[in-house]
Amino acid sequence: MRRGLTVVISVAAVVVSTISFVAPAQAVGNNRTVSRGCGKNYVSSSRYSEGGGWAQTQKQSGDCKGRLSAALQLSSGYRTPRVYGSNLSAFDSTDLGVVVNGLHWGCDNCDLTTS
Amino acid sequence: MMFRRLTSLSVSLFFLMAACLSCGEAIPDAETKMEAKAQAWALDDGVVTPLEYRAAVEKFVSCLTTSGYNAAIVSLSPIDNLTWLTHLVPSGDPTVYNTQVQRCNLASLSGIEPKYVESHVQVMEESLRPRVRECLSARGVKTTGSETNAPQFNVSAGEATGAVVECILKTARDRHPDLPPVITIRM
Repeated sequence: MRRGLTVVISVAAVVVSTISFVAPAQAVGNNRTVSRGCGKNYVSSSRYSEGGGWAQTQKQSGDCKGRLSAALQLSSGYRTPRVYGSNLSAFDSTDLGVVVNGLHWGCDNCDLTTS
Repeated sequence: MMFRRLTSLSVSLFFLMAACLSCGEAIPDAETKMEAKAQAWALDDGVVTPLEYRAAVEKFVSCLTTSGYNAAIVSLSPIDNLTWLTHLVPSGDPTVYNTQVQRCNLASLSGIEPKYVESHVQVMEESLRPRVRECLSARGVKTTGSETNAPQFNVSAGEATGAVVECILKTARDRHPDLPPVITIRM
């Protein structure tokens, strides 16, 4: 009985973490910690008062390999070029247009996370 | 009973596999392999020279202009004295444009630029530094007076990244009105 309960709890935990990982995009500034199997990254973004904005992907903990990257999604549909940083941080900024979301990748072929 | 246990195990394994697929360790995909092959000319010896980096930026811009987009190299960034800033003018279908910019990025610049810039010490243009400090001070952010680049300002400001970025960009644009709309800052 105890073993059954443990399995249910572990499945529930994985389901919750999976759901939070693919949560729908919100407006720019949805800054938060994103967990990967190998560690955690902090994704953040903001708009400038006179247009444009910035996005940053930062390593928070763990030993993930590969480099972080960041870009910006504009309301026009255009994206700024993806900026590849180090395994510690990647940053992008634009004065162009209305920033809808920060775009973040924990590695080159990791799934896109928005902030 | 045995069947129920096996079913529970299968369900938990399924979710564990699903979680690992979405957040696990990076595995080189086709794009990453294409990037490594296209930029091997500069990356293979482990060192990217200033001339190789400049050539990579030229390839990036050329890739976009031959694809029909308006793109040009503007100047070396006064923020770090390392990054070549480019001015890209988005046009046409956004999805097509975004895809082509990323293709050109992977074909020319995405590996070479970070390799070059991250391996050198950033040095912010001297005339910008006191103005960045004044801007930060006006926002209640303290600095040490000895910062020489953006990462140092960010550390001094206690990771008040928003204020640091806005002050650096505002100061740089005031001094250099011709800077392009998209600026890369490394912190």
